Amino acid sequence: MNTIILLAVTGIFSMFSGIFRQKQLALPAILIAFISALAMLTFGWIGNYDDILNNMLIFDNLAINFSLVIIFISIFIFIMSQYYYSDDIEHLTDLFALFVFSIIGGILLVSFQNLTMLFLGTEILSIPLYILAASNRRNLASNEAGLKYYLMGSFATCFLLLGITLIYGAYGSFDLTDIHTSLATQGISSLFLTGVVLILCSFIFKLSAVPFHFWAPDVYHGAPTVLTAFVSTVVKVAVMGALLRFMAFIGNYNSEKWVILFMLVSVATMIFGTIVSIKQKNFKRLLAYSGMANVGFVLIAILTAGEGSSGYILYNLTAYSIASILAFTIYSTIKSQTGIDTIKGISGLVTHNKLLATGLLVSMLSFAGFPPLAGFFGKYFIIFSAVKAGDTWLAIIAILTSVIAAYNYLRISAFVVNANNSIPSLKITTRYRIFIILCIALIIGGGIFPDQLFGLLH
Amino acid sequence: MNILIIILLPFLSALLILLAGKDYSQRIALISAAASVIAIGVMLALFDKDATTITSIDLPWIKSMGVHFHLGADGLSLLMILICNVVTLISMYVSLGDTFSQHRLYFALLLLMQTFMNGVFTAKDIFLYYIFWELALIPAYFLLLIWGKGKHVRPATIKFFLFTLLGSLFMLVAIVWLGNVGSIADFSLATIYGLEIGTQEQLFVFGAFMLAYGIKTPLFPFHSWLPDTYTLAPAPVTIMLSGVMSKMALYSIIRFVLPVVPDAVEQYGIYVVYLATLGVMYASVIALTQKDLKRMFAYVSIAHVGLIAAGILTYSVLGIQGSLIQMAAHAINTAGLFFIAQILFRLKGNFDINSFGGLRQYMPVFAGLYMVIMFGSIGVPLTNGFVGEFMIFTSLYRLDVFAALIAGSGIILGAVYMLTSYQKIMLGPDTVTTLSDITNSDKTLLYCIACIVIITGLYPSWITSLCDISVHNIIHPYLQK
Repeated sequence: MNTIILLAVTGIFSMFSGIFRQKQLALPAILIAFISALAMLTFGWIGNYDDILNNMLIFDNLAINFSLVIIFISIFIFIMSQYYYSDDIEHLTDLFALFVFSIIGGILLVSFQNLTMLFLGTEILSIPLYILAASNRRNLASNEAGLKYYLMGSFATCFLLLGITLIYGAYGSFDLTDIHTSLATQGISSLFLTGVVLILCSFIFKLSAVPFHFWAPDVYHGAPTVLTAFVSTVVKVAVMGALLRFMAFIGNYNSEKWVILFMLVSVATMIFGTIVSIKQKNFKRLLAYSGMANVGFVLIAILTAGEGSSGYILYNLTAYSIASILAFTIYSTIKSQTGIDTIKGISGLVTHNKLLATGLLVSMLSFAGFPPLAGFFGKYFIIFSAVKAGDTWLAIIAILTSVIAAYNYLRISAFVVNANNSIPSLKITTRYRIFIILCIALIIGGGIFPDQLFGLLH
Repeated sequence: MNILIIILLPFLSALLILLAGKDYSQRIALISAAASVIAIGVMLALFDKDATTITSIDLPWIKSMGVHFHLGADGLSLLMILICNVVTLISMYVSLGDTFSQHRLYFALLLLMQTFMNGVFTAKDIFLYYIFWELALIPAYFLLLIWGKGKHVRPATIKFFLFTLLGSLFMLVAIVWLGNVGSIADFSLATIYGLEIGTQEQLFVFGAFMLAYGIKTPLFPFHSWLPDTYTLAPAPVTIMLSGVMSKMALYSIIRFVLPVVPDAVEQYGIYVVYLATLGVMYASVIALTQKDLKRMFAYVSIAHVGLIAAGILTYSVLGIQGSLIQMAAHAINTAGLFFIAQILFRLKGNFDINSFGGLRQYMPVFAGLYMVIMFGSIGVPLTNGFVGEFMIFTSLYRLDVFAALIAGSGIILGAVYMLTSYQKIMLGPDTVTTLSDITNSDKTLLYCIACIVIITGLYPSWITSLCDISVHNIIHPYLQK
């Protein structure tokens, strides 16, 4: 709870720093606040405000771990945004504030104990994103992305609200514990089942999983790259955390039905995401689809949920997020300096930009799941949980799709090392260089010492 | 002597090459490769039956998953790392003859490949083994991609990579299963060997492993990545791929498939033997029609590794020992053959067999050495190819006469195309006016290879005695059941 308060104050501070023309203060303040939030979560100083909030939020291990990852990844997003937004952009501090508010929504989501909070978290997470998606106001694609995201997001919210209403109608409460008690005494009503399905639909929408994935490619493509990175990393972690919590809640009731539903969604998402990604020419779109495929992958771990499943999911998402941020950062640098946004366009990156090329190769190989990069263990843990739960066929589908997906990443790396063509040397600052090296080190380090990282998340 | 040395030596040399201020890449690479061979020579000299002279290393790595960084060597591993490092040395030496762009990266990648392959041959933890197995692919991928020649390099490389990745991921599922079938997660080889696995599960594990190894070896019908890859790769890389990478899979069959799933091998191994022998026939027939020398050698390679795989899967001491001798022979012979192809390429700028002719009168030494290496490849008595082939055929004959017949005809065809191509290139009508014999450095290497061919042919029993205990340990538990 202290974290939420701290971040809320930071967001407001960021807005005010814009008003008082102290733009340069915003980013350092945000980074300091994030690092202190990490420390607060790690050392257990989370604050207990049960009485005030009526048990609407719960900061158990799952919430703390997911919040840690959300904030950790957000730090990277903010550092990346420093290179993305040039200094003279108007409303920079407002954009930062919107990001911070969205992160608060994410933390509410992973710690909800009351369906009202689920709704509030989703909305606080999403509404800033609609604005941010359209924040590149003079760009038509960005406007399109914002509008599309907003309209489709509204539908998802309707589903969510309707689902919550139905459950409330059945048991007269929003509180998960109360609903539990009522379920035990009154049995499962059809209203409850319908409500759950509707809520799950809204989750599937937020995760851009099949069949509610149509918004994702256009939004990813049109939105500013920082936002794309944010949506494909932080937002996914938050929604996965909420989904895990929700599944833990409904898992005891009719579990086999949810499992079948999620199996279908997971398999369809993996297959669709990978197969469609093969045809993509635009780098950002490709990453959108590959992120979709990864969601399908993670859903396997959710439905084979056993002990430590949240650790597996978090490991995968962290590994995926760092690699994504690295790829997006490099992409946005190339895009802003040369205007290239296709996969073919990056051919010959290695000739004049060794560091960028290395970064891109590491992130691609990590996506493809090569040891000893973090992405390998991300995939390994998921396959492990599937095999352990006895769902070997799911593991085999996951493998087949990841081989197809590997084709994409190999294609990109083949372009990167192409000697016949070359894009000019790009200007990068020392700080940027350090950031890229840090990301590479994290991806390699996460693969060589998975235990240490895993231990942190457990 | 600690086994870690053969991992650290090439790895640190690679780092040194990449990070050094000045470019000493050729010298460092060559010295490192030679030092590795010497280190293994010392290990071989000190070797006793129980392999106690080689210190193994065992550190906990990923505790929550029960994975150890466990390296060690027995006779079998020692033979494989000897092959690996000798072939690497040859490959480095061949590399000196051609100029490569970005040669620091080139030599670093070769050394990394050597590191990871050594890791594959010495890992005593099946998870660690898998990591090394996958890692070995990455340098190979970039070596092919950056220095491969021809229009189709990119698709061919990606095909090669995806094929092997597909196989390895299935193997990963089997490894995950094997490591967690017990009450606590443990991937150590000793535990895996001790597992009692039901028949159904054995079939599953056997299938997953054989898919991975069938693709990597490659066995018919998973071979389609090989001809393009071998042809487009630069000669030193082809030497590494055919000499060592295919042995990784063959070694793994001996090390993991036979002892872990003996019942499945007993029951279904015969089908793989049939596939492998069919592959020998198939590859030989295709090799007959090849006009491109390097491509022909690629098919020769498919035929030979098919025969070796068949020998291993006869599941007899004789077959396995024969396969081990044949592995050593094949590694040296293909290295020699691809080097010869490279020398010819330097002359004419292409690999077309018909464009050569009458080279013998200008290059007598080259012609003689070529002949020795070719005889080794065909398996003429007194060369290294003969003994192993003979043992494999004997064991195949005992297992199934039909399989032996198919494989035998394939090998006879092998003699036909090898001799025909030799005749076209070295004898026949004159196509060149003036040529001097090959350079001294090339000559030195070919002399060395030819010596190994003949010495191993005369005295092959060092291999059988080296690996005797290991093979016995792998076969024996099954025979006792």
